[in-house]
Amino acid sequence: MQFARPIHHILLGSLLVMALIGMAAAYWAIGGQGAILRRGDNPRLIEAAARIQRGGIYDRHGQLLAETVNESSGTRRRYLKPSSYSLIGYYSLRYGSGGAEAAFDQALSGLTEAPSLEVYFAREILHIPPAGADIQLTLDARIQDILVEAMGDVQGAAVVMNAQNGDLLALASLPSYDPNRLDEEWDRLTAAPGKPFFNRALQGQYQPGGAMYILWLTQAMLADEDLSRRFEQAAAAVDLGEGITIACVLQPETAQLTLEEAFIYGCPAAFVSYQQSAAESSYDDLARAYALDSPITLAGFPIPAAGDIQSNAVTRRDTVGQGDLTTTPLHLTGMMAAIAAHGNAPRPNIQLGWRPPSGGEWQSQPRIPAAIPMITAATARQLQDILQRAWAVLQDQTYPDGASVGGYVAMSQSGDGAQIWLNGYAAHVDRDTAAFVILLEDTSDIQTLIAIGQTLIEALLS
Amino acid sequence: MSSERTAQNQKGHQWLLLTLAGVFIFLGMTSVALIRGAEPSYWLGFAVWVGCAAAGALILNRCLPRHDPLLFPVAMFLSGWGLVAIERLAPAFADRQAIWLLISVAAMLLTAIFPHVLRWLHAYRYILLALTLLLLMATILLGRNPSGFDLAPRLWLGFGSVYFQSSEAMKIILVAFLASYLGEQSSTLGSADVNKEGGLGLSPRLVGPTLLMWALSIVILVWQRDLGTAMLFFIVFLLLLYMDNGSLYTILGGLALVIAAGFAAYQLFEVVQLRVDIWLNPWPEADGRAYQIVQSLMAFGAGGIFGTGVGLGSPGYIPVVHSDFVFAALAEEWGLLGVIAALCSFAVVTMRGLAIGSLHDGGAFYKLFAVGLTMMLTVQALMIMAGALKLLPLTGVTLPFISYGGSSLLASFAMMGILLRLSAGGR
Repeated sequence: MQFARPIHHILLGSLLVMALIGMAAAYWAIGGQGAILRRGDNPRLIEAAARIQRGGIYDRHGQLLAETVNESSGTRRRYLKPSSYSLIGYYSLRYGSGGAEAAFDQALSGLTEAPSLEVYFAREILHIPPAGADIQLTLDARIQDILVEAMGDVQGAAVVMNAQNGDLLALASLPSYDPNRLDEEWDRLTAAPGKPFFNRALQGQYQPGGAMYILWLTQAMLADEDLSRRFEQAAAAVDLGEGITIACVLQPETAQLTLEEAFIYGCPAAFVSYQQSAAESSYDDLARAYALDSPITLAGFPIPAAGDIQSNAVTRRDTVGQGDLTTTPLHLTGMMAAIAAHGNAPRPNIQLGWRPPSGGEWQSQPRIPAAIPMITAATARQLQDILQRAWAVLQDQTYPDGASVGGYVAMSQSGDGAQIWLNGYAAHVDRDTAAFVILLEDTSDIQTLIAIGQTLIEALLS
Repeated sequence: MSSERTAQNQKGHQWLLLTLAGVFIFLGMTSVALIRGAEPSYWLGFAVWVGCAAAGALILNRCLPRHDPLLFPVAMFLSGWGLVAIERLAPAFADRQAIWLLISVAAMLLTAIFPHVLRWLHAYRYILLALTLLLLMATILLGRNPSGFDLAPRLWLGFGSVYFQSSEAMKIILVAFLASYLGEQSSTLGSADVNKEGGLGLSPRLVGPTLLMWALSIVILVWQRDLGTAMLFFIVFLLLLYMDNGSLYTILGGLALVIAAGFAAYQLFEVVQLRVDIWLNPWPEADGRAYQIVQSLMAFGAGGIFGTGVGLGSPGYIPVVHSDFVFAALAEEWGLLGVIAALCSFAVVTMRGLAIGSLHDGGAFYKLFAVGLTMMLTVQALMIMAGALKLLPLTGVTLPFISYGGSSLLASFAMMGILLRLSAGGR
């Protein structure tokens, strides 16, 4: 038959090319599917995200902090408590997510559902978008409101932690931003000098400065030092070189101070003198004992490890908290919690529970049970007493029966700026003890710091 | 009696296949209507399709009782699928496509039934070739682009608000000319121009048309920047030449010319350079120049095996999806199963078309003509499907029967009409 052979070849060639096309389609539909669909420039990802009914975020008492509202143009995320904006963060189809929205993104988006035939059928066949679970935070919206209102327009951070179980009751980072207006203000916010997207309470790494004197005090107690010993020229400023001079935070009435008095007034010279007689490794040991160099796991929040503690000989800078060690307010709050909770620091916790998309009762989030033993109960009790006396020197407020409050102020230098710290605790026989750290940046206004602390303590004890 | 029974069976099969296709298209249209809200206008396309299918089958059965029973149902299935896709992707064009379907099926019936079409195409090949070249010249001089963009290729001749892509008409005429020319030369080419080792001879009768076709393709490429049509014409010509002389060197030599022309075009033309660059590595420019092909691949991924369902995918992210990338849209909403269904449909067209060429007893012209038309449809489909999957550079041709485009649909159905006539032993 004429042309039979070439026609046969043409047919085979055509079918071969069709098979090749079928295989290529199968590759992209099955084998290469994941890689290409996960690309950041896949607009279908945004479309899929927009269809998800994202779960709500609640405080520990069930007060709604963030929710998804359905509008004619699609879904929109709404944030209800301005004081919690910096903690809750943002969720935007255009800009992604931050804060708790990012930390709990998988659960809020309903992406944690276990694979099953039912789920496969719903997602892949019926194309029903997943619904996210509600998340209940350990945050106490009332305390958060009072704290943030008291801080006003300062630049800084504050952390309040239940010293018994590690629940974070308040967590503020200022300046903050309004996540409801993210699309309109994104460019301005990203360029703002105060870096509002940066969570200072969790991620800010600061020189601890005088906040570290409590380490030397602890060491003196553990070494059975005579705490009534007075140090000459204890109220003098300490020159660290390079133009940095560290002086007392409060001016004492006399120049000869015990370590306790030096701690209360935030005077560095006595600790420098004491350090010269202390064992070289004790600073490292104590910092490690207070877990200041340990990374903290807090849901999905990115928490940096505190600065590296060098094993070299302790320098004058190390002594006054201006050395290699840096710390976050959260790390220091853990240290204060250990002192307030008889030497055992609880592990920080931000999630109280969750609720399935279908509603119903809140399910408790399993806690990390073990507290970290940091110091002995006796040492902790001694430190509590000193902190109470320090707080009494700073202000003259009286508290209800059954309450005990301690705290101290400290100052540190970072670059050209100065920070002031108020670290303390508030306890009452009828409720759990709360430890707190308040940090203000670029100021030396101790009175403002103390006023914020007083307001917070009142809220904690009320 | 046996022949009559066979014919009756074939008619039954044809009706069965058309009914199945009709159910598929009805379900597709219903899905689109459910997604968008049931407006009566959605059913115009389906009504036109049903009318075309019924009238086509009745007329073909009456006038060409021995026609191929598969080609018409497959063509109607693909064009109906195309209507659903266009209703889904570009509803503003759906009614227009339905009208073009009506015209195209009428043209198919005309070419299938009118007794003198094949004879005229054979007898007046030089006049037709001259007309083809005139059409090409007219397109070069007067060509427009319906989009109105200055930089877009001007491949259409406009008559008021109606546009016709001249290269679509050229497909049939060119294949007819080549089939006629090569058919006449086949006896001498077989002996004198192919040497004993099967090598390509250098007779002007062989080299002449090769260079003519190559030159014509280059003209299309240079003047119209229409890479797809240039490649399509040349590949089909090579296949016809191969069919005629049976020498593999024909294909190899032609491919060498394609590569040489491609290399030169890459150096000279920005549009070719762009298409080759994004074919080789689209990922760095996924948001820019390679957006279309990357979105096409994402559509295949998003569709998976079963597809997202009609109206539930997002093929709209692919620019010009209803025309150049309708295959990717099918992949997203009908999944890999839809891709396989489309491939199988084109495989049926290929197999039946080549069988018609192989079995026709009317002489070389008819065989070459059937194979040429089949290859014109098949190669065009393969080029755009491979392009959407990044197996080939993008060529900008349409997917026969499915893509939006009146002239493409008209040409495809006209070719189908000729194939149907040839299948019935027509001369």
